Amino acid sequence: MNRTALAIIASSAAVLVTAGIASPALAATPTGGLAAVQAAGEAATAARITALDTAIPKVSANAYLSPGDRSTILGTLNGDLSAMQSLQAKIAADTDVATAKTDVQSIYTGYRVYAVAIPQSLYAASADALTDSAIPALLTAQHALQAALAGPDKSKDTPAVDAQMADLATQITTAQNDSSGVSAAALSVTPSQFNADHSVLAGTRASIKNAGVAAKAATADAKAIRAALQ
Amino acid sequence: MRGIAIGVALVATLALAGCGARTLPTSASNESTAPPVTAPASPDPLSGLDSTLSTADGAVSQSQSDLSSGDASAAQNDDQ
Repeated sequence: MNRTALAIIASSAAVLVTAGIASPALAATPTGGLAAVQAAGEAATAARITALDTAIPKVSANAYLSPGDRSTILGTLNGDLSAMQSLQAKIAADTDVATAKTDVQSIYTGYRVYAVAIPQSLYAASADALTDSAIPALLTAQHALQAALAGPDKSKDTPAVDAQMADLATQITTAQNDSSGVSAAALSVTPSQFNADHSVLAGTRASIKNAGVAAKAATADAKAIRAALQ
Repeated sequence: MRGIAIGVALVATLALAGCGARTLPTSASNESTAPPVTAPASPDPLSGLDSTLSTADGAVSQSQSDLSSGDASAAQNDDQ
């Protein structure tokens, strides 16, 4: 392998590490003496406790989450909060570097609060808002518009309105297909799965985004048709 | 006699046709005070549509907000 190829590989690895998407094999272990490892553990647990303390009330207040998903999410987040508090105390009380390093490492590999627990809860909430509220409302709107066009507003039907009705149906179907089963898929992801594959939530995230785009387009269609029937 | 028979038959026919109601009122004949019966108006299919679309709007906005918040968390480095 020539020097240019080696330089490209080294450069690519540096970019991946800088972007925070290094493979699990590249994850460093805590370094330094016991005090340094304990300080790293304190900072890592404290930051995650703060994040969880912020996330948990938002989950409780999210009116769009299904009761089942809310229960699952709160179980995970509260469980992680307890675990972070326990680890925080344990690391502070550790008396040897090896044990402290293992405990600090488990903050990341055992829980993945930033990479899994919080994102999966928000992705599930995002999906629930579509499946349980937005799409049913769009279906109701679609039926109302169909009834109006078949009855009292028949005279206002135009090719443009027909095209918007067709797009409304297409967008609703896309939103339904892309959001179906997505909250369950998001909530099924575990830290272990993330440890093996850092892109494990990517497909779920893409589906929700596509469903949201379609739901937004469907809402715009319905509003435009509504305006045409004024 | 024939004229009388025709007259009786005519009165009987009118009575059967309901034309004699005013001369033979009954306790149940309140048609003159009852409100006129009209067919119920068809409900407007678009009634409530604005509220429905507002619900869709709110849910889509919340969905996008949650997605962005999830992305923000996922963007944090969760490796040592």
